[in-house]
Amino acid sequence: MSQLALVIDLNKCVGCHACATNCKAWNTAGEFGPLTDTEPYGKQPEGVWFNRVQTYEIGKYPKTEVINFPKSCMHCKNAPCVDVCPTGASYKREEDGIVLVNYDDCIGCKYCSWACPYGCREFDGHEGVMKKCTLCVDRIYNEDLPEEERKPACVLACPTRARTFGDIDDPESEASKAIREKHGYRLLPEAGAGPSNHYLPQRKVKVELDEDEICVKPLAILTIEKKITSYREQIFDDFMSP
Amino acid sequence: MRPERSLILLLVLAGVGQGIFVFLAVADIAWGSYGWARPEVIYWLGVSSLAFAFAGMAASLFHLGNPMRGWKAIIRWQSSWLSREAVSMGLFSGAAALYLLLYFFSAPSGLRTLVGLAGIFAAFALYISSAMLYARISFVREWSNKLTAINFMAFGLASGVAVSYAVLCLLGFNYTAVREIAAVLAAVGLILKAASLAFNKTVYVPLDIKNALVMNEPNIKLMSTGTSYEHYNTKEYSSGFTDAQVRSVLILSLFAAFVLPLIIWAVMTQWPDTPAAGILASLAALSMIAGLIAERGLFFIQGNHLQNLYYATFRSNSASNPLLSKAKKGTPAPVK
Ligand code: SF4
Ligand code: SF4
Repeated sequence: MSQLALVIDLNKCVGCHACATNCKAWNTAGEFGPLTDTEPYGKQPEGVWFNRVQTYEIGKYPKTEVINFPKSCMHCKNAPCVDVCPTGASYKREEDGIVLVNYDDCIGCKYCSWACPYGCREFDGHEGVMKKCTLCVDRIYNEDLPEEERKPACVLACPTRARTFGDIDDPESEASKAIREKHGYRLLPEAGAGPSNHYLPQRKVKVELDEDEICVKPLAILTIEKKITSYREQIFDDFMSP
Repeated sequence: MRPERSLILLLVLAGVGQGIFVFLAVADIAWGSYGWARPEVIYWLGVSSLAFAFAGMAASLFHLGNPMRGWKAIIRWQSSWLSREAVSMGLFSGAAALYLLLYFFSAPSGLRTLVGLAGIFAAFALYISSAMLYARISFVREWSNKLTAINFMAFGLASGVAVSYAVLCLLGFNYTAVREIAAVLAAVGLILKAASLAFNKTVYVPLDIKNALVMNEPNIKLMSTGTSYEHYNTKEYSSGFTDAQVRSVLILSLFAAFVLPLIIWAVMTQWPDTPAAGILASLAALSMIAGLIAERGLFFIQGNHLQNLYYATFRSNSASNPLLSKAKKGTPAPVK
C-alpha cells in the first residue's frame, strides 16, 4: 500500500500562484476535460480550480507577516467524501491512495463536497459534476512524458520548490523525510478525515546584523536628486557623443 | 450553508406525502372495520400522498447537476445515506401506488394491510435516511444530533395529517378525531422545534482560524480567498442572510407552521358545523407547509460548515442561532 501526497512548505511559499495556474493549465487541457470558467475576462471571473492559494496576515500592524496558504484535496485516508457518495463516482484508489471522481458516474448531488471538512471539492456547474485535485494521475504514470516530468503540475511549477510529492507511507521517500525532519503536520486532525497532504511550518525569520552593517546615515534628498541629474546628464552625453 | 431550494422542497413536500400515507394506512387499519371512509376518501388521500411525494422527487432533480443519471444514486445504498434516501423513496412511492391499486381492485384487506405496513416502513425509512444524510456530517453540529431525524419525522407526520384533515374536510368529512390528532402533532412539532433551537444554542465548536491553519497566532486575518472573484467554496457554504433577516424568518416560520394552524383548528372546534370547514382546514394545512418550507430553509442556513474556517466565516460559538442575541463566548481550544 502506498499513499501519494503533497508536502507543502509554508516557509518557502511566496504566494506566486504558479502552482494553481499550472494546475489549471494542465487540468483544463488534460485527459479529464476542461475546468470551466464563467466570465473569465469579465469583472467577476469565477471558475473551477483544484488548487487555490489563500493569503493570511498574522500579527498586528506594524508587526505583521504574510502567510501564503495553498490548499487542494488532501487525499484523506478515511476520505469522508468517498463514503457518502451515492453512486460510487467518488473513490479512493487502492494502489496509491489517490481520491478521484469518475465524471461519467457523478450525478452532481454535491453531497461529497459537504462531507469534506476542508472545502477541497468544487462543483462544475457547466458539466454538472464534482471536480477536485487528481494529484495529476494523468501525469505521474504518463509514459509519454519524460521521467523527470512525471510529477503533479503544481510541484513542477513551484519556483521556490515549496512542494514535495511522494509516498508518505514509504519512510524513505522525499516527502516522508521532509515531514519527519521539518515537523510536518496535517490540517484539522479534529475532523477525523486523516488527510495525507502535510504542511511544513512557517518559521520566524530573525535577521541579525552587526552595528557596522547598518547604514545609519540618511542620504539627504538633495544629494540623491543631484546624483540622478548628473546620471541623466551622463547618459545623455553618452548618447549624443559620436 | 446555502439554502438550496430544490432540497427544501424535496424534504417538505415528500415529508407531507409520507405523512398522508402513514395517516391513511394507519386509519385504514384502525378504523377500517368501522367503515371510516368511502372510496373517494381513500382515493383522494392516496392520490394526494403520491402527488406530494412526486412533487418532492421532481424538485430534487433540479438539485442534481446531471438529473438524467439520477437513478445511479441507488448504487451505494450500503454506505451512503443519500443512496438509502433514493432507495426508500422508490420503495415508498411503489408501496403507496400499489396500496391504491389494491384498494381499487378490491384485493383482500389482509394483503392491503400488508402493503400498508410496508409503505409505513418505507415512509419512516425515508424520513430517517433523509435526516441521516445531514446528521452524518458530524462537524456540522446543528445537523449531527438526534433531533434532526426526530424533527424530520415529527414535522412530516404533522403536515401529513394536517393535509389529510384538509382533504377530509373538503370531501365533507369533518372528523373531530383527525383534527385532534393534527393538533397534537403540531404541538409536539412546536415543542421539538423549540428543543432543537435550544440545542443549537449550546452548540459550541471550539475551533477557529488558528486551528484551521494549525498556527498558534492570536491575530490571523484573511487577505485573499484565492484565485477568482467568488467561487464554489465562498458561495455554497454561506447563506448570505443577515442575522436580523434570519430571526424574522424564524419567527414567521414558527407562527405559520405551528401557531396559525393550531389557532384555525381551535376556531373550528368552537364552530363544529361550519360550512367553511374545507377552506379553513386547507388554510391551516397550507400555512403549515409554508412555515415548514421556511423552517427547512433555516435548517440549511443554520448549518455551519467547517470549511468556513478557511474563509473566516465560521462561527465557533452558537452565534449561528439567530435567537441568541448575546452569543456565549468561549475560548477556542489551543492548537495541539
Ligand atoms: S480533502 Fe476533502 S475531497 Fe480530498 S479526500 Fe479529504 S475529504 Fe475528500
Ligand atoms: S457530486 Fe458526484 S462525486 Fe459527489 S457525492 Fe454526488 S455523485 Fe458522488
